[in-house]
Amino acid sequence: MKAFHGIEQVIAAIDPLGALIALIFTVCVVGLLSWMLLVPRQVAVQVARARRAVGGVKRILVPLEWGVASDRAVELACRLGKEQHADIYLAYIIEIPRTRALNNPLHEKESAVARDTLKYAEQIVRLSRLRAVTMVERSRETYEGILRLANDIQPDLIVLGMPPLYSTVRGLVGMITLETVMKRANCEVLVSKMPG
Amino acid sequence: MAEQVSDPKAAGLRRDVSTWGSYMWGFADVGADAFVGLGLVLASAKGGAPLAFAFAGLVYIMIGLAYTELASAFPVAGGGQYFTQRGLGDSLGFITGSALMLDYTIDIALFAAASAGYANFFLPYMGLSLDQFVVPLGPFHVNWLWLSETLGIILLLIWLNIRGIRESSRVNEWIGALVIILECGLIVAGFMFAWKSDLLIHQWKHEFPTVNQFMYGSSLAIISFVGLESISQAAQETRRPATIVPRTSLTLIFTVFLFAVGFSALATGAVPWQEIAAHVDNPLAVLARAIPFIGEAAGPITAVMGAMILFISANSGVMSVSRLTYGMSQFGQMGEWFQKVHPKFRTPVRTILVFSGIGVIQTIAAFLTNNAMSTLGNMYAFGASLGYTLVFAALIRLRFKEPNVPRPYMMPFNIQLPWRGRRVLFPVLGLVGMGGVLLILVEVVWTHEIGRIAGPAWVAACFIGYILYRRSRKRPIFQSIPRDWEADQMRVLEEAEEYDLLEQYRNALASEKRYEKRTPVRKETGT
Repeated sequence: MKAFHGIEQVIAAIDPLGALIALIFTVCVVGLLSWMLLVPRQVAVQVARARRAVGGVKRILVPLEWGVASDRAVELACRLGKEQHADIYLAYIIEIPRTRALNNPLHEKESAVARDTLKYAEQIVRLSRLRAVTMVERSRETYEGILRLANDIQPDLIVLGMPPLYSTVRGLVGMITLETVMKRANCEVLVSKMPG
Repeated sequence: MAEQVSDPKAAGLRRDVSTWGSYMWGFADVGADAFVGLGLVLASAKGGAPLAFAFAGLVYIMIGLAYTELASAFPVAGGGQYFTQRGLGDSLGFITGSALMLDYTIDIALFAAASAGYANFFLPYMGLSLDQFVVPLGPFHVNWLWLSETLGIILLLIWLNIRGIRESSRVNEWIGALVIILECGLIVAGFMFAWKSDLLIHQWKHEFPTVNQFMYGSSLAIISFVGLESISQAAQETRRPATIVPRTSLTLIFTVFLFAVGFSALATGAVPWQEIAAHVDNPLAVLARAIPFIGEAAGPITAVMGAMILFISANSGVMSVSRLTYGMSQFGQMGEWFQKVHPKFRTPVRTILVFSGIGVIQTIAAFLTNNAMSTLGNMYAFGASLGYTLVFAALIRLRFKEPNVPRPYMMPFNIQLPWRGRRVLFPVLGLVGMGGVLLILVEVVWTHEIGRIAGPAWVAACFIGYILYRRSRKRPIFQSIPRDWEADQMRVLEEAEEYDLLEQYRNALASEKRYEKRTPVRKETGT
């Protein structure tokens, strides 16, 4: 009976505002200590090497030519470079026929296509809050242009977006470009092939 | 060609400090300050004490964040001295080291004496009085019991630290956990049963200090944050330091802030400030006694708590000064003699013995004079503010000098600046913090009569020793010995098994070297 009376006395003595402050204090201290003690697991050497190898990619070159496939390649490059704030180099490659001089002015239609392609690609990069560098490269062969740019920019990675390669002439040209770039580029090459 | 002054790996320290142990190294120092500082701050800041603690806490938080960034990025013994040496060079690194050395040796003397003082609370229960142990010794009056207890504590700590950091860390972990539970219990029970908002408002309105009183009170509150350094001192012996240190350091900053503001708000809402000010030696016991239901038992409990936390605080002092000087010796700032590690326990035995010995001398000096504690306190403030000012400068410099070093934690509020072809994050909060600590240093030199002479005299004496040592080894005095910091950083990360950060650092260095070789990138070409 005496004990019961004691508990009543204790409850009556509690200051509501003080109890609230005490509760906030306890939650803060317990929360902080719990966060401190939940240490993330250790990363093995092999895991760290693989993880940071991708993290080391600071310059990504994305050649643009194939419409949807190129846009998707830009987005893929942005995702790969986002964590380490990589710079995305967007290059529109124009194949100039051998009947024309390389330094001749471009046709209005060619310029418009290049401008639009680069504009949309740049928007994709800006959505990821990364820095985009745009350029137009003229060459006799697409792969020549890509390799020349790779030599100038020295990217860590080239992302190539490929359209479906079914037995079309364009698909064949794409295959040649792909094979040559993969063989001769002095950096990592990633190919994103669109499903058929 | 870079010169390696020594091979730190050969004399490597054991990585034995756990997450809780790392936190406790810091809490041992900072947590003890409430037992000493609360009364002093209340006596000067009166009803404005919670504000004084909050104001001091802001500067303390900035110091803490700077240490968190540096200790997690550079997890080696030496702490502030190492950061300054790496950022600002050998001579400024030595000055920081000597300032912190002063603090740690005083820490040993001060907290060991205070711990014994709290233990003496129980003498009346045995029918004894502390005063009956005072004996005349020439012109002095010495309390031989208290002095013997203090020296006994220091000798026990020396033995524990030589035995190995695991053993002494375990002492910290157990005692610290108990003290945290008891301190939390005191604050929770106090707020629930003793705290009255009316009294807090009354004291705030009618007992608010003058500007001078408030500034003095807040400067007293600021001097109690030397403990933060301990976490970085133990970083070389902490398992996975780059992962653990940011967590323990941030938790320490905010829990100690909560305890400091909590105790001061509780005190001003539970008892008149004059009552606490009248018992500056034992303010928490007075506060605990005012709590209904537990007040009768609270006095002895608080005395036990005080003795325990002050004991581990003195332990942190022994650990910190031995690791600091061990690190300085490794980097060619002190004799190689100090690099000796115990063959069995792998602890820096010579630095423990020599610098704890200085703590013993300071203790004896303190007991011979009437105002020795005040002198020690003055020098304590000088050492801390000088050391922290240079650490902030090093933090800023290192952001420019070594931007590639992975920083698991980075101080908030940064501005991106172009710097020699790189993008560097300038720490705005670091600059604000440096200004704040510099002001405190000026205040200490301006207002503390003994501190402005004894503090600089200590640093000057140490620097003379540094000059003589460097001359004898034919090394530059004001210039730095060339070192391969990149290789050193990789070795530290590898030893600490921080593979993720190691790979991040390797990639960043490789990328930078690759980009340096590249031809300039062609400018954007239009259509």
